[in-house]
Amino acid sequence: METNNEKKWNSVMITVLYSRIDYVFGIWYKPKVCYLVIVINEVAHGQTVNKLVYRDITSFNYCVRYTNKNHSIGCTSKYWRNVGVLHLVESFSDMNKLATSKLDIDYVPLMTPKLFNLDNVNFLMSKRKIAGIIILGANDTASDDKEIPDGMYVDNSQYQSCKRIEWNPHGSGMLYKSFDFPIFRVYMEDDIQRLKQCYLKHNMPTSKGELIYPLCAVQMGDFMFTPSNTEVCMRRNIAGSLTSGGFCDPLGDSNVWSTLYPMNNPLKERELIIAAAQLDSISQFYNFAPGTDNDASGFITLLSAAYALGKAKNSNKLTKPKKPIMFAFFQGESWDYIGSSRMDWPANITLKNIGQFLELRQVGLEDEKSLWAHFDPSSGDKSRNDAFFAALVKAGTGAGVNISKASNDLPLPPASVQRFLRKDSGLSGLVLTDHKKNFTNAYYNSHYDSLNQVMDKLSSQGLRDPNSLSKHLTRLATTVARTLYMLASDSNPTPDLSKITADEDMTSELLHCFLQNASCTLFQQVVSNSNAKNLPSSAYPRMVGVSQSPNQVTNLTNHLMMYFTGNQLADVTKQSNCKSNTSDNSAYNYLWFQGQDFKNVCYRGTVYYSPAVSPAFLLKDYKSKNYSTWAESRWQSVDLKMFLVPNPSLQTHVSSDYIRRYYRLCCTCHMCGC
Amino acid sequence: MAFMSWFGYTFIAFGPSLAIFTMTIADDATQIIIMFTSAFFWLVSLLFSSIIWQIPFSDLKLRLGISVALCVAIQELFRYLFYLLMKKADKGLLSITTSSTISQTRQRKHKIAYVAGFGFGVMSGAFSVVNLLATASGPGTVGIKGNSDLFFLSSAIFTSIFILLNIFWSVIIFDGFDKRNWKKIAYVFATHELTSLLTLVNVGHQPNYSASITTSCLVLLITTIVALYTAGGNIKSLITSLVKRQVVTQVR
Repeated sequence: METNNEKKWNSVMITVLYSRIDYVFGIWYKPKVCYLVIVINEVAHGQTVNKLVYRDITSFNYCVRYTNKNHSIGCTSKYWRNVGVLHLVESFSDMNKLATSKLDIDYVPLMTPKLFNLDNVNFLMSKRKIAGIIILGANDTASDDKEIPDGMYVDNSQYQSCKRIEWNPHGSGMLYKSFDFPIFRVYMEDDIQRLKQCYLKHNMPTSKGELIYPLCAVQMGDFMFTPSNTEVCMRRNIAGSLTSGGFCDPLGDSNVWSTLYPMNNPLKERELIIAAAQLDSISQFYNFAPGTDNDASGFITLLSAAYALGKAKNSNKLTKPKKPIMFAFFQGESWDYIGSSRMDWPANITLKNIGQFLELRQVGLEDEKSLWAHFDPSSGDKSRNDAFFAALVKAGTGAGVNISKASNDLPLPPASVQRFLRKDSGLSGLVLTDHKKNFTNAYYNSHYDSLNQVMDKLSSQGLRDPNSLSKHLTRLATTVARTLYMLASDSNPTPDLSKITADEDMTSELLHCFLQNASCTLFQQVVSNSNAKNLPSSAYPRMVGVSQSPNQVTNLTNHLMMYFTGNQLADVTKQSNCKSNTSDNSAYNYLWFQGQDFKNVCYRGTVYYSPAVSPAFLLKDYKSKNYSTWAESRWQSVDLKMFLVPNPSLQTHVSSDYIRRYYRLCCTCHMCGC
Repeated sequence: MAFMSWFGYTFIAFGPSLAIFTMTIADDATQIIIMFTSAFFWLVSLLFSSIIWQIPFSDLKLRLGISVALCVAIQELFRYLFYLLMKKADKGLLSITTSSTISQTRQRKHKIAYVAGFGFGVMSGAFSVVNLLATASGPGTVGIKGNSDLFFLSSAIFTSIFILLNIFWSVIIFDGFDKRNWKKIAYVFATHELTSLLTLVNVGHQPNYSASITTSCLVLLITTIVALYTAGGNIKSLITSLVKRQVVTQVR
């Protein structure tokens, strides 16, 4: 959101209106003229004074604030940033030292990832004034997510609030806590060493246990504009303010859905077969959610399955099945199912048309050497459910994937299909996961859910070979593709499934593109040549973001589906002709991209976007019980500076606090516009 | 925010000049006009000095040294220009003078020089220290990269010294211009170059603040005495002026 032009302007306005004293006077030393003042001792080796005092640390992830109908989560600093003295916490004894320190100053603990958990943070907060937390690097630890969003079980006394099963016992719930201080994760080794060295040099107590000023401290700027909850925030957005265009934005983006063959005829009841996955993940840190097992395993498998079916279709190996097959990629599912609660169907589809709904969630690992099919215990037609499962098992056996049925009395794990079952319990919803009961993935919705950890876990499970993730997902993609085709052709005539096979090279390329390097060959092929240059050499972040700024993951998924399931129009050679003719069937969409040989081609297919912004924001019902009300705060800037603080006797806490409060008052009044 | 140190540095830098302003300058409109005009002249001199930055240098220390020397020369040139202006404007200023205390006295010329020097000094002081003070307001202090933590303090002291020096230099050099006394003009030019170049020892990671400040103070002391004699005073009259005068009224 920071790139938003409007926001930039706002930040300029804010800076102008509430310019900090050094910003105003900063202009004095910027022009070179001013190097030439007579007393040039202020210019030591060409450095400006600020550089003598502060060292910027730039390699960090930060935590931002989100709001929903009742409360806010995440972090914020004060408007004038938080300042605290560094304290290295590498063990429990360090933590106790910090807790028993007699100095009345604010601290910023430098914590190792191992110690950074909710219990320890709560312990420190209860003992000390914490100005912020810096986490050093990333090696291991636990899941941030504890609460499972209320899906279909919101009013069900038996299953609601995870009464029957705690899906994520590894979770600490940190993600859903609200902190009044910033939490940064510094990841570059240089910066980590700088922080550590500064602490060791200046903040080590003497043999008598005293600290000697000046002490090493940091300033953390992470101020979030949003008020306590979404309702207040949206009200203030409308009221507006002098200083910022808004305070928060609804989370959301677009869903991508497509059908294998054009759906022209009106659908019969329970005819449509949907295969779905979610496109987004979350973690405690903004735009840093690798979510390898959480969502990537699912949607990459689905893309690979679409590729298998599309390839077979385009090489005319398949006969068109009786029933339509639909692929759906939902966005914003991590935030109370934004995408699936706002699926805008075309006019000829209603929920009644959906027969089977196959959802892939967390399928990168295995539990008891098997994948697990979860059904909702109380919905769906028994015989249809059984046939669904039988088809899946049959396809799995053919492709070499073990699939078992999870216990009947378990509710569905968190899944998009819950949103559909909530409205219509007649459809058969199957959630395929890698966990029998609790999550196998210990890093659900955490920034540790990385490719490396999934690989490590797979190899430690003794699965085939160390690089087994792409093999595993390819087998699963074959299974999914065959299942869909079997269900669609209604086993009459018995289809020849051997023609549908997923491609392992494609799966590993998809993994590489989405998780490591977005400027890979495949992504280059599915964008226009002008956009190909803009693809970054890192992975695109897969947090949903706010609805105003388009999410590249969604766009690429749309283009990939077009590439996989659409047809190339050989006779179209100009981009301007790559659109529907008046005589043509308007059900098609057209895309112009580089294509396999990088020659710029036109593709036609049945791939569509559908908005994924929670209906709560359309209905302006910010206390909605049914829909997601999550919104992301706006912010001005995020920064981290390290410096030495002089003795407090030179600082006068009282006066500075008064001045800060005065400014805070002014700025709050202006910004709230209330 | 290190507010207390901020106030400390501010008053070290500008405390003496604030006292001078309120006690000797503020009550006369003519003097305030002269002060602001001379401050403006200093700004113009800085503007011309900035041309020096167009000269390419390979070494930073050399660049700083030559720049400072040239900059001082340009300032002294503008001091001379201001002297010429004051000579021409004298009659006009006299006609609008409201205060009778200084008009028509033989001290008047020195007083104009004194105020002109004050304007010069305050403007140069403001330029050299304002951005430091902005940074000194906190929350950090110098030292993260191994620089001396006396940086702010010594900068503030230097600023104060330079404001005072500028006052006395003006008194001496204006008299020198009047009487074509080349010794006085040369003395001012030399000491200005000396003190300015002395600040170069403060550049770098091992600054020698004590040496540069001691020398500058010594120069200030000598310049003060020279200025005192230039203005027609002596040690005795100085002491007399400092002692509280007893007003004796004789009643017959």
